[in-house]
Formats: sequence, structure tokens, C-alpha cells
Amino acid sequence: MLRANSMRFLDMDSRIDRSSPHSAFRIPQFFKHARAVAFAITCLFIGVSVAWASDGAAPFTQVARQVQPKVVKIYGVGGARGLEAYQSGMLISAKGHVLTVWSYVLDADEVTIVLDDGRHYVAQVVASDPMTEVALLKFDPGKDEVPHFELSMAAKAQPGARVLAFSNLFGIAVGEDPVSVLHGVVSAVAPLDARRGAFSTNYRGEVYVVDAAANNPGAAGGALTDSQGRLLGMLGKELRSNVSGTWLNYALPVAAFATTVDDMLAGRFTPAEMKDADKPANPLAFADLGIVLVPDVVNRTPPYIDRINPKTPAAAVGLRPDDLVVMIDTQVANSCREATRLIERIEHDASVRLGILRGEQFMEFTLTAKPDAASKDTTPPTSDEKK
Amino acid sequence: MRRNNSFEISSILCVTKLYFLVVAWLCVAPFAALAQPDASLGAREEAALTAAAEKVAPSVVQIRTIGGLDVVEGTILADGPTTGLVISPDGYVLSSAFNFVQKPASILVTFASGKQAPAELVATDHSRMLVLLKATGVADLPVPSFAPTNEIRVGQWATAIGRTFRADRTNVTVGIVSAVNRMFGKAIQTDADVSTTNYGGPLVDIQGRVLGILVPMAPQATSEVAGVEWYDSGIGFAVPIAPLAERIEQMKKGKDQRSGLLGIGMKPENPHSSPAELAVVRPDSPAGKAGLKKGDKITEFNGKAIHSQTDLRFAMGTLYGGDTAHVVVIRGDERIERDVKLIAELPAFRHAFLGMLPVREVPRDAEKEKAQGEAKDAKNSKDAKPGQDSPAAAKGERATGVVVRMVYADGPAAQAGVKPGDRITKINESKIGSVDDAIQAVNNLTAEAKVAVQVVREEKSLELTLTAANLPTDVPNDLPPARKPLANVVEKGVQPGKSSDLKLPEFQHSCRIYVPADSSPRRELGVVLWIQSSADSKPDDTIRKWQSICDRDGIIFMIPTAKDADHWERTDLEYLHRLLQQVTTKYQTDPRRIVVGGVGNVGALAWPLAMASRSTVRGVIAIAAMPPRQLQIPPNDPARRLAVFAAIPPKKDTAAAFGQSLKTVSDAGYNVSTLTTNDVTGNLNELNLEELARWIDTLDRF
Repeated sequence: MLRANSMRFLDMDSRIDRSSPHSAFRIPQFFKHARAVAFAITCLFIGVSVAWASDGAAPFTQVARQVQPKVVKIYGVGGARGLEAYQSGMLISAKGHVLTVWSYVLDADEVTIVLDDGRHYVAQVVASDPMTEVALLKFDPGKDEVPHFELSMAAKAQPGARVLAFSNLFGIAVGEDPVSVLHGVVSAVAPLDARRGAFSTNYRGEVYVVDAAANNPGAAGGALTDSQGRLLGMLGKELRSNVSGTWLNYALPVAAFATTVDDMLAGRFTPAEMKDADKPANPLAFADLGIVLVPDVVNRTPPYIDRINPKTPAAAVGLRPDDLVVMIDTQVANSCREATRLIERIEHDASVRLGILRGEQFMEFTLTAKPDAASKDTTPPTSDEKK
Repeated sequence: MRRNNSFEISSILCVTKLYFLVVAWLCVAPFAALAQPDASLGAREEAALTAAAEKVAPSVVQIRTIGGLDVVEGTILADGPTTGLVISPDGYVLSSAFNFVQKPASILVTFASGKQAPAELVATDHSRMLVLLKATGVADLPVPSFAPTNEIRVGQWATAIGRTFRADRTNVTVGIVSAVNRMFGKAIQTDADVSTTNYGGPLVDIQGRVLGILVPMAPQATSEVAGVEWYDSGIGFAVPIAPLAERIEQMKKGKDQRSGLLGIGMKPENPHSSPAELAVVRPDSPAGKAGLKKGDKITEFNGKAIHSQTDLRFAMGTLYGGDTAHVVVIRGDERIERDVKLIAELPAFRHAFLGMLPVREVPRDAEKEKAQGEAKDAKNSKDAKPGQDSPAAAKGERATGVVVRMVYADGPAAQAGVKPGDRITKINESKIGSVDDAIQAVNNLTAEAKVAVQVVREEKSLELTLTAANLPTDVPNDLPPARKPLANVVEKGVQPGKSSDLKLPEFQHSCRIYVPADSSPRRELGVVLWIQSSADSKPDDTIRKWQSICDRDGIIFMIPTAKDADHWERTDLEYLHRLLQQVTTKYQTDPRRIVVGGVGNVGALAWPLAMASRSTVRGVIAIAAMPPRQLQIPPNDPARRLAVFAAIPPKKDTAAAFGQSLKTVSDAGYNVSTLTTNDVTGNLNELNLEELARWIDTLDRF
């Protein structure tokens, strides 16, 4: 149904482009019949009034008007079982390149791109990156001018900076409505540790966390800009933070996908092979250090040391039974399960720093598994402790 | 100008050179305008807000907990870090109680400097939802400055600060102060995003002074997890701590803090329009010891005028156990002033019992009575409220006592010689005009108390002294009729009633309702709201089982069906609550016999429904329906009785678990009667059903 509609709209577009007087065309016509001096005075008035209007009372008016045309509405597949059939995207070239977030919405032969003035185009997916979940779309603008962001001109922001989020959240904007603008501040610039349902995201790099309710259905692919309209990043899908358990409002910084997009534009992008970066080839285990934790009985069993095997690295540095393992390198281990998971992320021959609570004392120990323990068959007494 | 500026530039460049500069200026002007806010208010504000956050950041710590629960009261707890605020150079840290509901085994604090130290939970403030931690082995920590509470204004900037996403940087959200004196004067409200990412952290003003500690809170709930559902919604709360200096000193000594209690109960009436009249004064409470009595009206509390129950709640809101309050009450024409030392915790209240069952007298003018609605509850007020259409004359007429339907064997009344047919006219100082009067009088007693009861027997008045007992948990085996056969009226015998569908316009749910035939003269009907799985029994089949009981005892029986098959959710409580409201408005109901029942897992919803509708519901029937584990059982309320009837299936492990959860209910002071069924699924046989019917029929005991 959508596709049928888009055909109709396209016809209308060609009509509009010829007949509707865009402001940009109007000015030269005005020129021909006006004197330069009068025009200069007019300009002066306009300039002053614009500057005045943008001060204080409506600080974001100009910026919003400038950015809104660069953010598009994307319509694709969906609609069943509460899945939205729409999302947002950012124009990044005059040739009709649109950057958005890969999702089921794009899972079609073609998707419809609708600009802020109602112009419709059919676009194809050029490439997508499973790591950042960035997808590049392309439509043919023909002779149409297409406003766009320059990724190379992107800015950066620190916590506390005012930001604007542009997206078609909840699909509120239709036809020639521009996308919605929300304002807030950067709450944090922090690594993404979040999940959708049971699935954690592949991307673990830094994101802008914002205090606007920016990430709602349909917002993915929208733009986050600073208070002057400079692009900061792209709004992501709805995610729940593993840190706080709350829904996260965030954007992927441009730096996280700029190279990928450049490669995509140049046609030389090949998706990196996805592998679990957390799992080293030969992971470390507590047993290798000579540590036996207490039996893991509940979801958050505190990771107390049950016993220390003699003549092991743990014994050598003076770890004791009843020590509580709270940190593994820089990560906090708040349960046996978490401690085991963290230790398995470390290469077997790497040294590991353990933060220990002994009574009221916080102590740190640095250990390295014995080289001869690398071969697992040589440690039969403790290897069964691994879970 | 719809298109962007670059578009204009390219279009215009082709125009004559003469105009080029002017045109270029036109195009640049908007850019200059864009840059304008940078140098102006917006940018200066942004800089000031950032500076404010930076100023307090050194005192904001990250807290990690090790071990503990992962689900509390149905809330799944994230295991990420939380936030705290240093309040002393030697390592005292305040945080939100929510951050510790999981009862962790160990606590680790990371300071802004990067230093890590173990910490101990020293004390909890249950009133403000704060905890005090003490980190060991630290010194010379930076302490923030605090904004004086009286300088906090609605509309001023407020930045919420946490240290959760990373240990080396704070996270900030920005908003304004939305309100002061929220949560009965305990908190200020902000529209800055508040969530687990900053609970325990400070809310600061634009100068970087601490306005309060961020905590989740909800007005009607006392649980630590209450209010969490409002995260990031524009409704956040922060507790100002400048006024708590003295409390924090006590907390440093390990003393938990709780809201101060008087030990009174007020009538279940509209709290905003009803005066703070004491319906119940517990003799063992601060109010009781200070000599306050049932019927007293509180008119002043700590110098504040009290006009309503809400006023009183507000006046008491900020007080702690141990605080002394100056209370002024009006008793008749007398003005009484007392200093009352509030208490932090009252022992569980158990209702006293005199061992009698009243005859249910027919309201003289049922229609009139109905129209007066609220007046029913105000029956025993000593002086008619001005402006209220209180039937003083009727009251005089009706102050003729309550006739005893049955005397419980070996109960206090039996031991003192009370007999069926006696008319109880006075209990201690309370004149008895209705069953409610009698129940309210007894609500003011505790077991073992000596009670003077005036009895009229064959036109003669007797003064008897009873020793109060506790409400019995046994259900009597045999009950005389609840009403006297009336002279002049030929009872037609029991007519069958009607089943029909009751639909509430705003809800998708449906409800089957059985109303007994309108016997003449009218009687007040009990209400049973029955929650069961439609897979277990069809509503009409259940009604058929209950029909003869409903006809005999006068009970409206309702079986609601969830909008989504058997899937009831806590959000459906609103519907069930409205259902009860609807039926009590529409019919002449007996407010002492309104009960909710539930069968099996589906029926467990009866528990939260009863707890949420304490003003209406007097009993819970739980047929193999255990109270939900996450349900918080509030302490028994003297003024609002709630009795429990539980049928326990004879399965070993379930019975043990059921028994355990019932003990929690009983320990909170509630009257719990139990019955072990023969049927494994908890189905009631005919004998069980009769016992249950008798339990409902004795809910107006006193």
C-alpha cells in the first residue's frame, strides 16, 4: 500500500517542483525590479530582526529550521504486531545518500524517503554494518537540490552541552511535516552497555547519553546536533541500559561510523566478521590462579574465595579464603557469575589485577597464571571448578 | 525560506556582481544570528550549569554493591553502579535507600579522585528514603555546600548529578525546580530526568549548591521501590538535607529513622474535606498515653491550623519518631492541649473483641439513608457538623443501642452475663446507636482492657464490666438469624434473585453479578467480589453454588472476567476497585460485609485489591491463593478492619509456603482464619462453603 502511495506522491512532486515558488527562486526575481539601496536596507532590517529574534527567547528557532530539512522520514516494511513501519534518516550527500540505522524497516527491496517538504523518493539499501548497525541508503534526486549534513564537519560535545534531537519519533510527522525537534543536554559520554530484549549490542564504544526523550519508536536514524546545529551523532534504536536498567536516550557519535560510511560511499566497505571480542582464544580461569570461589547458589552470590590451592599464584601473593573478590582489572564483580565471566575475558597469559575486600580493607593484588598451567591437562585437581 | 542556506547561495551566485556583496551579507546574516545565542544568555546559562555540576562533582561518588537480591517487590534491579554524595571529610556518604534494597553483602565506593574504599551501611532513614554509608580508610574528602532550604524557589535551574555510566565522570540532566514541599513537606520536585542513573546523587542549583539528594518517592506508598516507575518522566524528587542535620548525627550512631506516629486512626472519609476527628486512639500509643480520646478533633498541630485529615498528614509529614508535637484537640466544648512524643514504630495492632454479634436492624428509611451516604459513617459524631445535613433527630432516635444476635461461647460478653436479645447502649463513654458505633468503640480497645458496657434488658439498664479479648479466628458453628422476624410483615419466604451482566462504560472487562431478590422490607446486602479462572469454573456455575447462601444471608455475588482471558494484571485493580464502588453506590450494601475472594493463582489478585481498597473492603477470602510475594502488607489499621479467610489445599509444600505467608499477614495484626480443604486444588465442599458463609456473616462481630 505504501509503495502505491509513493508513486502517486512522486507524480505530485514533479508538479510541485515546477510550479511551487520556492523562496530561493523568488529572490532573484525580486532583484530585477528593485534598487540595490532599497534592497540593502531591507536586508539590514531582516538581518537585525533575525538576530534579535534568535536571542534568548527562541534560541533554537534558526537552528531547527536549518537542520530539519536534512532529516528525513523513512517508510518501509512493518506494521504488524506493534512493529513500526517507519524510522528516521539523515541526508549526507547532495546525491541522495541517507544514513540510518539498520532495522527490519529496511528489510525490503526499496524503501520510501520523504523529505521535510513532502518530496518522496524510492531508495535502495547500499550497505549496512552489523557492528555499528549503520545503514546507507541511496535515492536518485535527479536535478533536485538536496540539503544535507557534511559528516566531515561534525562536532563533538561534552556532558552538560545543550543538544537538539531531530527525528520522526512515533511517526508524528507525515507528508510535508518536518521532523520533531527535542532539546536537552548531554548527560554523559560513556561506553554503550545496553541490550534489546536479551541481545546486547555489538557496538560497545562511546555514545552520547542525553536527557531528552530522544529514543522512541521511529527515532532511530535521526540526528543529534549541538545548539548551533552541528551534527554530533545519529540517534539509535531503543535500548535498555545494562548499567541502570532504564531505557536509554543516546546517539552514536559521528566518529564511530565516519570511516565506515566513507568506505560505504566509496564502495569499498566489507562488513567486519563478527566475533565475540570478549572471548580470548585461551581464556583465563580462577582455577589457573589457584582460586576456588564459594559455590554459586543464587543469582548474586557474593564472590568470596572458598579456598586457595597451595603453591599457586594466588597463594604466592597472599590471597586468603574469605577474601571477597570485588574488582577484576577495572571491572566490578558483584557476583560469582560476573566474576567468572570477567576472568574469562582475560587472556590466559596476561596478568590480572584483583581488587579484594578483606574485612574493612580494600586491597589490590596482581597475579599471572603459571605458564605451565597453560595446558589445561596439567591442572586436573582444579579444572573441574570452572563453570 | 524552506530550503537551507547553501541552496540559496548557489542559486544567487549567478546574479550580477553588483549585488554580490549585499546578497552574501544577507546569507551570512542568519548565520551570524545563529552564532548570536552563543555569546548570549543560552551559552552563558550552559556554561554556568556546567560549572555548577563541576563544582559538586568531587563530592559525588560511585557506589558498587556485591551480592544481594535481584528482584524486590516485582522490580528487577539493575546491577550497575549507583551514586552517593560525600557529606563529611572522614567518609560519611548519603545515598538513596533504593540503591540498597537488594541488601548487598558488600559495598564499594569509588571517589572522584579514583580512590576506592569499602563502605558500610550505617543507618537508613525510612521517612526520607535515604541511607548513610561510612567509607573506611578515607580522609579530607571534599564536602559540598548546601542551599538553604528557604531559598529554594520553583522555576530555578536544577541539575541532577550521578556517577553511574563511568567512575571518572559525572552524568548530568538539567531541569528546573517544579515544586517545593512535596511528599508532605519532605522533598522538592524537579523535571530534570531522575532515575537509577542518579538516585543518591545531588540535585544542585546554578551555583553548585546541593538542593537535595535524589530519591524515588511516591505519595501513597512507603516502599523503597515506590516511585521508581516515574523515572525520567519529568517527575523527580530530591530530599533537602540541610534540615536533617540532627537526624544525620543520630544516623551516624547507627539509629534508623522513621516517620513519627501518633497511634490514631481517622474515619475512612474524604481526607481533604473531613475534619481530623479521631475514630481510633490506640491506648498503647503516644496519643493514647497523652490522653487523647476517640471523638476528639485535632484543630492545631505544632502551631499549624488543622482543618482536614490531609492538613494533619501534611503537618506530621516531616516529623520523625522521637519528635515532640504540640497538639490541640476539641472535645465537645473543651479545648485540650497536649505535648505528644511521636513514636517510630507501633507494635502490630490486634483488634479487641467483646464476644457479640449484632442483630442487623433494617434501616428505618432505606432510601433516605442511602441518600445521606456519608452521614452513615458520621453516625457517632457527638455534635452535628455545621453545614452538613446531619439527621440529628434521627440520631437521637437511633441512639437506642444494638441488639445482641449471638453471644460467643466463653467470650468476654458471655463471661459477664450478656444474653442474646440484650440491647447494648454504651461501651465505655461511647453511646451506641448503630453497629458501626459498637465496632468503632471496640476498635479503641486492646485485649485485657476492662470495659464498662451498658446493657438494657427488659427495660432495665445494667452496668457490666467485661475484659476484652482478641478477635477470634474460629468460625462459630451455628448462627441465629441475622434479623428479627418483623411484626406486621408476612415474610414471603426466600425468592430467587437474578443474574445479569454488569458493564462499566470505560472498561473492556465484563462482570457477572447475582443480586438476591429484593425482600421486603429492604435489607443491607453483603458483597462478595470473586476472582477465579474461567477455566476452573464458569461464572454462572459458581453463582449457582453460592445462590442459596446469597439469598439467605443477603449477599451480592460478583464474578468479573478479565479483558484478556485469565490474564489479570495489577493494572486491572483500578477496574475491580471501580466495580466495588459501582455496586456499593447502586445497591443498599452493608459496609461491614464487603469482601473480595480469589481462587488459585489468578485469585491472588484479591490480596492487592483488598490492600488497595482498605476503605471499602473488610475481608479477603483466599482459596489456595497465596498473597503475591512482592506484595507489601501494610500494618493492620485500627479504624479499617480487614479479616482474612484462607482455604489451604492439603499439599505439603504449598501448605507450608501458604502458612508462612499467612503468618506474615497475621504478624502484621490481621485476623486470619484458616481451613484446610480436602481437595488438592482447594475446591470448597459444601461444608467448607457453609463455614465460609458463616465467616462472612460474622464480620460485624464486636
